Amino acid sequence: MELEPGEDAPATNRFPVPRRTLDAEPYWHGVRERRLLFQRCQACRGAVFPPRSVCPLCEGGHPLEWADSRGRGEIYSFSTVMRPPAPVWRARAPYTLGIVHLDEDYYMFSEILGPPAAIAIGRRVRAVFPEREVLLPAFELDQP
Amino acid sequence: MNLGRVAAIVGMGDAYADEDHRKDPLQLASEATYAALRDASICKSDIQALFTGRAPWADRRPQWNNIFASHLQLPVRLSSEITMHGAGVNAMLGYAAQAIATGLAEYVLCVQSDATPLFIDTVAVGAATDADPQFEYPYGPTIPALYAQIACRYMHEFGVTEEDFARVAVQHQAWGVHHPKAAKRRFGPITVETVLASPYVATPLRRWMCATWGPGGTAGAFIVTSAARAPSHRAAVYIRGFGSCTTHEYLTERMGLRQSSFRLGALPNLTTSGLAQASSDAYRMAGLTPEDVDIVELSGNFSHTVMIALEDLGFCEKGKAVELVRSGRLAPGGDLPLDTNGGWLSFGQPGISCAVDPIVEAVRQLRGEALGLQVKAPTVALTHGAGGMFACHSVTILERG
Ligand SMILES: [Zn+2]
Repeated sequence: MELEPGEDAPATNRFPVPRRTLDAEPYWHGVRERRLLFQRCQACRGAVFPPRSVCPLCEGGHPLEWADSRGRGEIYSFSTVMRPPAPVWRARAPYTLGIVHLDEDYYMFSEILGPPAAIAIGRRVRAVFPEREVLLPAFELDQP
Repeated sequence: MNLGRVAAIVGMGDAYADEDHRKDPLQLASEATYAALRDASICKSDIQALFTGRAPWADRRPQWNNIFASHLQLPVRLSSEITMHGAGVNAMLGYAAQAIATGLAEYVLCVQSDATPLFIDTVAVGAATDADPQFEYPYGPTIPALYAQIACRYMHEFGVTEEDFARVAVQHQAWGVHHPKAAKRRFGPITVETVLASPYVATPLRRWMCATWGPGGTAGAFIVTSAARAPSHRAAVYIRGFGSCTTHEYLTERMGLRQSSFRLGALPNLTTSGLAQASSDAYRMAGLTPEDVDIVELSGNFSHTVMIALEDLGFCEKGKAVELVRSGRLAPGGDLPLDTNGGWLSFGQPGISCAVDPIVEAVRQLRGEALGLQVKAPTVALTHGAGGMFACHSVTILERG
């Protein structure tokens, strides 16, 4: 397989679970409730993702607060995976991974559900929570 | 003090392995080091400082620099792994120049080796290192699928096509077929049609647009000393400028980066890299411009990152690398020879030493000792190291003495 050097893929037949950080506990609590959460700086009001303990956008190390995203946004970039990384993914391939620009002005890496031919930069998407082995937010295309 | 005038490479050694001649990273690094010592006509005991890049994939013990120094029975007063992912392999020459400039050492050994395809099950290699284990890896990305996010934006923003990506691969193969160690040499010359007929790995990237594994193993070792001592050695190559820049670890974090004093274009974006800043610093130190560069040796893991690198190195404006590729200037016979050993796309990547192979190729070309196609009398070579998710970049500009 013609890939860049990386770590050995886990020789497992289970989907990987997120390596949760303490900063992100509220995010994962939200996911359990089918809510998409992100952080805002209490000082500059900038949207922050992935989660952290201080605002990286402005100087001064200001605290962040959690907010609900509407889960709406548009596709910034995407790629359909034809050669999956490990056996566990093969039944799902091809699947599309992309970067979504949320309307609250932050970016998430996620799966974009739908026929690959219909997926394009700029297409509007909305967050969904597919019932799978590992619960993760994904995005589906809005109807054109 | 101008660090672009203090140090020179006065000894170089390279080593290679394949399935018929298996060598591990310690063996490869030892062979290259002794070749470099002989080349410089110095003894092991003349070395006072040692730099390596990050530990080889095929021998992932931490503090590999110390393991190797111990293996050689080489006590040194300064030693470190330079680890900005693979870019640190290129940056170690700059660190050597700094050690020379500060008087910490008279002779510095910089060395990197790896032999990933010989020791690691490369079929099972995934994106576990370079994807965010919390917000990216659980979605099942491969490294090409992550780099494809950059390719998709690059095509969208600048009207670049798959045919253009294919031309990059064709030109690399045109160099690679002449290099005896190039992993894809056996396929012979290819055409745009060959590339476009290869399967998608992750759209829009097809197999020929992605770096290949192999050769089985490589190593490069360099003896660096002061510019004052350099003329007493054979064929000195001067370290004229260097610069590095790292902007992020994970792709999602790069999209979260909204401001910087560095030359990263309008943020956020995926199509201007930290290489723009790193190269600008290197050119300024060297007192040179892109027009002064005779050959370019990149860490180019995909067709599109080669194109973005050419822009960020100042060889053309942002979004215009497509014209440079179409011009033929980068191919054999052109006036801006690029990746003259075939680069990562055709020579291949043997592991972390993929970032040392471009430096080996540059020094060989400057000395007129290329193993493959020799460019006619180049004077200035630009070498690039990249690592992570197009995250870390290092540039070292070399000049023949
Ligand atoms: Zn803030």
